[in-house]
Amino acid sequence: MSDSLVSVKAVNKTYQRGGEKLVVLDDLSLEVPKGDFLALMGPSGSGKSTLLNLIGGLDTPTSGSVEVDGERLDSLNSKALSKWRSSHVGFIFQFYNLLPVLTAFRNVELPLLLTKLSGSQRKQHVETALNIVSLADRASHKPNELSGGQQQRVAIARALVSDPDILVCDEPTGDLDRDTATDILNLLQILNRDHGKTILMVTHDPMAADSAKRTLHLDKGRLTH
Amino acid sequence: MYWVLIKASLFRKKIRTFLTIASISIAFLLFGLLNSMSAIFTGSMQGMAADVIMVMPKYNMFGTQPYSNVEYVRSLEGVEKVTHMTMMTSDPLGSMFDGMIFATDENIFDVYTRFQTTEESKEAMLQRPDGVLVGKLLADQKGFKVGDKVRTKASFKHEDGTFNWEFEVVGFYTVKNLTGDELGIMANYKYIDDSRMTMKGTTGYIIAEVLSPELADGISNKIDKNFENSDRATRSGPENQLAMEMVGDFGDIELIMNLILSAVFFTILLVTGNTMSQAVRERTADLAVLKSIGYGDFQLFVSVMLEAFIIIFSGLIVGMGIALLMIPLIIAASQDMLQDAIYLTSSAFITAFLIGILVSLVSSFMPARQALKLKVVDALAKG
Repeated sequence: MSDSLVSVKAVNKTYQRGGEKLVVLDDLSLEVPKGDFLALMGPSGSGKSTLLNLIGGLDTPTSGSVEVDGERLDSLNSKALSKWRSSHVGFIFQFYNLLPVLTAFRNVELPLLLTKLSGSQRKQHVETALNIVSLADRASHKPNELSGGQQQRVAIARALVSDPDILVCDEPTGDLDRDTATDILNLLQILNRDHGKTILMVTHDPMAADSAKRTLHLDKGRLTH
Repeated sequence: MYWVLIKASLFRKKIRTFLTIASISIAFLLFGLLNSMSAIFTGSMQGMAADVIMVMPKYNMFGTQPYSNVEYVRSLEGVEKVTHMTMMTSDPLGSMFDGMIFATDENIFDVYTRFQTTEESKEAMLQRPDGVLVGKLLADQKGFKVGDKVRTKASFKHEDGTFNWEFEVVGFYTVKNLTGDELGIMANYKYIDDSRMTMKGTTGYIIAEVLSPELADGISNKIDKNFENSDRATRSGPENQLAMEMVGDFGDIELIMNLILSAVFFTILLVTGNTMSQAVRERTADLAVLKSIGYGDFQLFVSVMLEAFIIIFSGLIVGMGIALLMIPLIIAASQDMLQDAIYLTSSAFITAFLIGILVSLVSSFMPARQALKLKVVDALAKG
């Protein structure tokens, strides 16, 4: 597919655990077009998070290729992958993973500290990101002064701030109540629809999966449908 | 960038960071104070001249040697001026003061130039056999004035059969450094020798100024060789070297100091190393997130190293700073006796700085490596 942002081809991922070889992804291929909002579902251990990690450049496949926006991630070394992640992908985790002693503003600013932007430019970017997630008024609050939903919004702002092509979300609503989860999913839909972000989301929650444009199921390292 | 990461780490557990810095400060305070006092333990005090040699009884630093030794030393080639000093201690119970009485000749001020007085005082001493010059510090403490009588119960038996001695204050003396020497009294040797019942014709220390510091060792060796294997065997050498040897008689103080300091710094190493390891372990998820958003392995390695440097150097600055502030207080508390005896040299600061660098590197290397090697996927999976 020529308009694919993500192209995963014949990927295998195995781990050696003791004397046993554990196959996590088994000859998996996947194309994700630009602007897609894809939900990945499947039982625990099916390989969802591993696939997400490969696409996010956090891990490399045992064999096969992972290409994102024309870049072969499987051929990049650790340093190049770090650099690539800083500008092409934003991560959203289940437990938000904000640095507890930094304010919302500083947490969102973290990815920008790796860029050559000036202090005022960084401030502008951070304020824009916080505005998108409707948390501009909480910029000076520390994570422990925010609710779970607000913390996840800060994490989303952090993922957005460097304007990446793709957002990788690992159970983004897994730690939230139903109403807050709905808010977060609505926000992700807005980011996908209005801001053109391609979103890959791993979830166990069918309601979350319904927010996506399409859903794929994995089982034993293979796509089932 | 680094400052944001380091600040985030340091302030994550404020009390732990504070206690770690406090324990390092105490270690450096101990280092600073021990170092400032090392001159006392090693004898390498400021103001001791290298071209002045001291000749003392070999086996007893408070013993005596025949006065004829003074003449012998004076006769040696390379010796410019000679004087001598007999120390008479006073019993604090029956005395107006509990310092030392130095029985000496009037030329003491020409040879031993760190002792100073006025020409009038010297003249007054010559005019009055029982006249004494009182050290300025002692005079200030006891309020002695010219014309005052100083009565003391001394270690030498007076020819009247008692240990009671009476002198008259005719002036004062000061010292250029090692102010503790101002707690004594200078008396005429001839008067004391004539008036004492025992040990007549002996003296304690011989002090000789040689033509140049290079000659000091050779002349000292010659003197000691001359009296070797006799009942008047001597120990001679430049004043500072002799002071070190005398301290050495009590044990290897420098070795003991080094052992204490090694124990102190081994403790710092363990404290910091443990704190850093614990901090990195607790921040596994944070480090994983930082790596996921693009921070490189080496950047996080450097960040952990810098964190240790900041902790240790904060402790170093506080500890050495307090030591620096405490020195004038200790000197004041000693009533200036320790003036010029305790001080911090630039080499102490350089040593502290080098220790700081070494301890920072050693204590943070393993935790920093832990951060470097951290696998994002594994760390995130563990939560």
